[in-house]
Amino acid sequence: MCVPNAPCPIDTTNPWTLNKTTKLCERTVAEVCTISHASGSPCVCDSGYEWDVGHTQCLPQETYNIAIDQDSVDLQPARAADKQADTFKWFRVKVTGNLNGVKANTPVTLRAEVTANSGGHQHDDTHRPKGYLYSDQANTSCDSVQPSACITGNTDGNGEFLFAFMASEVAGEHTVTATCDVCKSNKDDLTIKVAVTGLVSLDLTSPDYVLVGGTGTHPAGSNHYLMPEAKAVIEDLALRYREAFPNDPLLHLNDASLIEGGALDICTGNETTAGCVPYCTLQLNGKYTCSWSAPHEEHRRGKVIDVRANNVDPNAGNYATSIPKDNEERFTDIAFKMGIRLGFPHSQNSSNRHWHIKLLGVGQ
Amino acid sequence: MNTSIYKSTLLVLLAGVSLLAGIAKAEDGIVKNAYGDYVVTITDRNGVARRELFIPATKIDPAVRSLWHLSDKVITYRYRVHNGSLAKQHLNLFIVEPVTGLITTPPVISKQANRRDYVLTLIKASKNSIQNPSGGWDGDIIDIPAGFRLGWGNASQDPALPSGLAPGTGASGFGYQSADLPGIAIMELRGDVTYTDDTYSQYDDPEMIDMQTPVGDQYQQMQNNDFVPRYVAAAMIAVPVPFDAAVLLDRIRSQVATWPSKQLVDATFAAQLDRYLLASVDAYRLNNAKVGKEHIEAIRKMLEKEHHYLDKEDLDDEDNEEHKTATRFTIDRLAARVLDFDLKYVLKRMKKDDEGERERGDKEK
Repeated sequence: MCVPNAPCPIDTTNPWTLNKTTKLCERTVAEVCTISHASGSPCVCDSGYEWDVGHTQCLPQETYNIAIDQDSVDLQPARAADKQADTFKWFRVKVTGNLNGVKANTPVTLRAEVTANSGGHQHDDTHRPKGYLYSDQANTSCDSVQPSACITGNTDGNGEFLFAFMASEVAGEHTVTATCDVCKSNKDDLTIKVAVTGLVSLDLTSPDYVLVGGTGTHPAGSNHYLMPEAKAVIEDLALRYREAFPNDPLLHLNDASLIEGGALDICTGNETTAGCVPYCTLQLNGKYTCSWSAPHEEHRRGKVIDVRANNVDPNAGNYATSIPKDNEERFTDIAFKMGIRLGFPHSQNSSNRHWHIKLLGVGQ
Repeated sequence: MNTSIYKSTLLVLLAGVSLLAGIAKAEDGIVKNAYGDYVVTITDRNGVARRELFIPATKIDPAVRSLWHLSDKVITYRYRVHNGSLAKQHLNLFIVEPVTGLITTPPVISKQANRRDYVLTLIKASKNSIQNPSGGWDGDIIDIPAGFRLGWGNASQDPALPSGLAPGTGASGFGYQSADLPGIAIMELRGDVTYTDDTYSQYDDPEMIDMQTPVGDQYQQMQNNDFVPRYVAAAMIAVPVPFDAAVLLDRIRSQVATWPSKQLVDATFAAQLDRYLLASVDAYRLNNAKVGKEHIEAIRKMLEKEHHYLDKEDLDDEDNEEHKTATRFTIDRLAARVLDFDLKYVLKRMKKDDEGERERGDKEK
């Protein structure tokens, strides 16, 4: 130990000597041990040095850095991409020291978070999907609510930890933070934008259609995003319908997609099965909230829109603004001529009856 | 968290991956029932098997005649559509594409104009310029990248009542005018599909059907291909302005080159046609009209050898018994008629140009 007023540490191979002028223990190599003989304060290593394991000498201090090989990437929400490969990506985390290079077999932690209210969802809770982290090198999870949102494991012989981030079905801004115990305050963030890019909003006011369907969680103006070519199709269809039936209500357009696509999690609060777990919670009434689940199987990529068509329930408020029964066959004819393939209406025999229109000939 | 919990996490993750990959459940599938309809079963994410009924619009028996004639550089195209007596549905909708060079009132404005103005012009042009037979038919012009799609539909006000051509009936008078010469296009025809309340009550809401599964893909394909195709003559070969025989023949040649894959002409005969067409293009390019004309006449003779009466009357497309006995299988009769018409057009225009030039020459003298 190097203690106040003590002699210099004994080291037969590289002996310390007391510098009579500076009062410092010195050796032939660069390490310097500061002994404040005058004040009697403890002997400490100079900045940039640290005691060796036996506390017999000051050695240059090793500091570790953790780094993810990319700063930011764009991915697409699961089930909203042409290729599954666009929904996940592999990354490499590396822990390196300033003296000895890579740090093998050292624990690292990766944690994914999602920015509240991002991705066009004006709601947030602990069940909001944060994405999935995966690594062959991972051995434990560190998040009890969403286990795949936080993983730990050890670096390999090259000081590396290979992991994948898989987007959930919900669009939003994600951050993956890499940390390691030996890295002290060092951490590295990876920003992942999960979105269907290039969607544009329908005009909020139009002579040819009326937008409906905004809710508290997905307010008016946020639920009518489409790919530009799909937007042109519904605008044409609405115009053609208006010209065919100038004295009837305009088409009332309900949900299309959110601003960044992905799951449009309309919530009815009536889920009775647990299939949405962990993205829903059981309520006291025995039903599951369906937040973040996706009853709209196909409103994810800006290619689909619903058109109000309640001509079966005259007592409902939307009856007067739906496509009247008399106009329906002409409406479907126009749609087919435009290349739109309609099956039969959704939610038939209910006030929610609507035409689910695949504007570009495919779902999603 | 211990290792076993982490492993369960991985299982959840892998299950998610499987879901993304759209793994079909064992009981999922599409089954045709006794009525020729399809019951689609797809298990949803909650493990519930969802069933939907798909009634195809293909229970029709369509026959289409293509008729066209030239009058002062304008070609009038007409279709006669018949729904065979064996059909089980009314035929109430059909489209043909691509169609180019449409002549309409008002004229179709540039696509570069404001989109809404452009579509309004198309709607007005549809009303004024697309010919419909009586009985509730509506013709529409839709723009597509390759030109236009024309569609005719017959809509009844009561969805429970079938509309259009009942089995065993037909209608003529579907038509339009174009400045462009005919090529072969596909007409897609559909029957009138009626779903009853009973149908709805027995099956699930399509909203619950997950299309991102192998069975969903299959179902989507069925919906996209829910029509009966027929070849028709349609305006699709633009006549160059000013007239240039070589350019036009080259366009005709490009059109003919698409026919072998449509099984309209066999490969050997197509190769022979192509040789003559190419030789004709080259001759006209070298201003050797005489040789160019000889090659065209050679093609016309080849066609006449395969199908009699091609040049007798442009409006005659009846496949009567006499025609049928003269029909060979090297080239489809409609394709032969189209090509013969196009080549005759080139000869006519060249003759007019020659006469015009002679007249101008005489005046200059």
